[in-house]
Amino acid sequence: MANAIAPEHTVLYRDNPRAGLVVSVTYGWQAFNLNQRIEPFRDERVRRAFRLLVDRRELVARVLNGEGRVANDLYAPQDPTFNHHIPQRETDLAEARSLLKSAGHERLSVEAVVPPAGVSAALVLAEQAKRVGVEIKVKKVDLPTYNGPTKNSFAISTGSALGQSFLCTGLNQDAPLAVTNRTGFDDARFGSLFLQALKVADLERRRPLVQEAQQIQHDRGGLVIWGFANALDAIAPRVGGVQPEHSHFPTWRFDSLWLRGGAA
Amino acid sequence: MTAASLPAVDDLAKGGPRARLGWPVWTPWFIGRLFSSLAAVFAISAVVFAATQALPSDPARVILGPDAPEETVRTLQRQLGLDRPVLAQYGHWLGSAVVGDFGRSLDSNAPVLPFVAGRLRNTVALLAGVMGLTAPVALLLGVLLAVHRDSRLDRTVVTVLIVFKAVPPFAVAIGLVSLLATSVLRVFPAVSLLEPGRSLLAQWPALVLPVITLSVSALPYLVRLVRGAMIEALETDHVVQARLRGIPERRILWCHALPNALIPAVHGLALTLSVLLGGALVVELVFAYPGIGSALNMAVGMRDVPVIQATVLVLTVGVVGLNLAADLLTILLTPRLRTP
Amino acid sequence: MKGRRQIWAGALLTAVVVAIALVGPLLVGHDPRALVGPVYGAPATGAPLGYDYLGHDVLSRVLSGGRSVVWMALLTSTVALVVGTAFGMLAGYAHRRLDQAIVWAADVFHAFPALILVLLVVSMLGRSTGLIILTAAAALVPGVIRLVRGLTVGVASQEFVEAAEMLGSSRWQIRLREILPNITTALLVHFGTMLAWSVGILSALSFLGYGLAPPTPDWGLMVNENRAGLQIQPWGVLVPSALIALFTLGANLLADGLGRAQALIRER
Repeated sequence: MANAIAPEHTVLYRDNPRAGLVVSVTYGWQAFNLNQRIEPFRDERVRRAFRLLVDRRELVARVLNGEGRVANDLYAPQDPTFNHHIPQRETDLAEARSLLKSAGHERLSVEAVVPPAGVSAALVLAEQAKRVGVEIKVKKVDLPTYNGPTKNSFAISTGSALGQSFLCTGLNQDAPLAVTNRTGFDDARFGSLFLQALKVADLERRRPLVQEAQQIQHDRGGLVIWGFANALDAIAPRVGGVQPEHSHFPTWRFDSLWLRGGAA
Repeated sequence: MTAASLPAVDDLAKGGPRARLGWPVWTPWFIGRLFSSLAAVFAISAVVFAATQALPSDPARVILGPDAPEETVRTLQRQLGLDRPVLAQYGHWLGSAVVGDFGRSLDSNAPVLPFVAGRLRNTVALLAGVMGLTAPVALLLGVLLAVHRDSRLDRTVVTVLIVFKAVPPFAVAIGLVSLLATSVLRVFPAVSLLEPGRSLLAQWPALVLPVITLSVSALPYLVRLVRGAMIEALETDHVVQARLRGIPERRILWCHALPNALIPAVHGLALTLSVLLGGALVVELVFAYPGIGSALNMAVGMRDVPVIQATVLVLTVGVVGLNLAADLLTILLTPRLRTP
Repeated sequence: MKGRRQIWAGALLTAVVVAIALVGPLLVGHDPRALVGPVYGAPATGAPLGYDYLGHDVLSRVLSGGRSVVWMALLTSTVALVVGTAFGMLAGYAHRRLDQAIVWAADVFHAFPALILVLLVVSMLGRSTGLIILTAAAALVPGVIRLVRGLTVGVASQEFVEAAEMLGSSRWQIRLREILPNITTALLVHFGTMLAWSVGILSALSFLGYGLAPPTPDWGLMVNENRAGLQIQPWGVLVPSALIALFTLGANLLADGLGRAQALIRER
């Protein structure tokens, strides 16, 4: 079994008698973090412009090799309190250009600092940004630097996370109490809603809090979640019991895996 | 790389007091070289230690990950001794290293020494394979080319060897993978993932492609070395006289000329091994072979300082040791340099 | 291969690859950084070599990817030549202690595997092109020092040097005016070898990911980027590898041929 193979390798496993592919649809997402502590992202219009200029379909096609689906800048769609009424954001270059112009940034040059895993996505973003006159310089750093003392000071960075509940994800991303808040998201109303939601155990009473919080994230936040990635595992034909599942870890279910024809 | 490091015959002849004690005549030279080698090892380990101090991020953060709050990071820094002065840290590391304690990996928290030792064993296995493949081939081919010097065969083979030398090792590796593992034939595994429990010998197919790749880059130098040494040996007075005395050419070749050509060949082989010890890094990466080069690469990527330092130390000792062995073997094999 | 043919073959190969590297960027059909096709797409009209791991046009990237290798290799070799020659001449014609100190320092670094040294320095101190060139040159310098020192010692024992000494020239004047002109040919031959070697180490560095950063087109980097798609779309790997190999081959043949020619001249 090969756990978590790269999307570009899927071609090798389709129609291959010696190895099969197990594709699990998950809620693990990939995103760009727009850091509103840093110019030009202090201006909400610029953040929205960026969220409008990304071509999410192209990102999924190139970076994930098609193995994934488009996302709407919000995490945890599997959470029962998720706000499903927020319409999917579509690419709108004209609106993006006019927003940038009204913010006074017709020509813009920003630096994106990314870990090795985020280089492809950043390069695609850079090409997409050219369409509205924005130049993005991609700087690849190693993981220790990416997670080091300067981690919250990159104008643009890439991020990803496994699919967890709304509250869990928020505590690691853009909610108050988050240690690594690469977007610098700091909305007073969002913060108070989130902290209230943390105290409420009952899902029905939590739902309106979360849904309003998510609307704020969608309107004003800096997280550009562009896609949900499928978990890809390759298995040899004689391995059985591997089922696709949402958990990202179908190959870790050792209690239900078996080998055909005995161990080698 | 060769003659300059070996002692001149006259220097050795001044045996002095040690010769009277019955010690080998090359002892002063050897002791000098030993000291200078040790100094080199120290110098390089110090340079690497200094370089790791220049890193913008620190081990405590690497261990704790991005979500750790500042106070936790500072506590771990204190526990790891990272707030002590640099010289004190180096002294501490050196002291422990001398007794064999290289600390624990920052990435896996496993003791460094067994890990590095295991990886070293894997790389040494590769080098043994290279030696087993190239030594006989280089000898035979070198002798053949020397005997048929300047013929069509000689010129063709030398040209092919120059081409071998020119292709970068990673390209050779990828080409071999394409040829023998994935696209054309599927004889050998494309990736050399070794199972930790089984012996290397039992998993020999996984070593074939890396060994061939390294041999391709080592062979040109060795073949030309043997060829050149044989040509020289065949032109010495000793051999000319043997011919005049009517000794058959074959005997001359194998019993008179070859032993003399072996000396630079052995020297060259040891040197090649020392070069390959470092050069195996790229090949190990292409084949995902768990050797010492890939260990260093991984440690560098993760800023795993204890592993970086241990690996560099091991590599330096290996390279310097092999160089010393190469020179020592030359002296032992050359009668002139042995006797006063 | 016959001597003269070897020199011509080497010169031709090197010239062809350098021409591709220098003129290539002017001939590209697509912007080498633009995403114009499918990931690992097969060759199509307008993209005879197909597309790479993100969808760039491979041919355009191949044509643009040589410049960096060529100028960095040239600069590295030149820096190593200048620095190594200076120290080598210093050592070969100086007091014994200075000579021994320089030789010892050179030995220390000569013993250490070059790629690992460059890797360590670049990975820790950042990957600016200046640093890469300096470190690669530093790895080459000990070899040059050894060569130049040996040559200098040989020349320094000759009569015209003694004559210059008696006339009162300073040591450096002697080095520059008497010794240097006599070792230039050997230096040129070694320059060719160093060039081949620099290309090897710089492309290996790019391959490992410590050279130029994406999306810059660079032959060594391309081999690494497209390695995953070797079975699907091999052109992105094979063509840059072949070009690197041809450049190294040409430089080697040239250096080898020149070396042999020089040896023949000396024998006569």
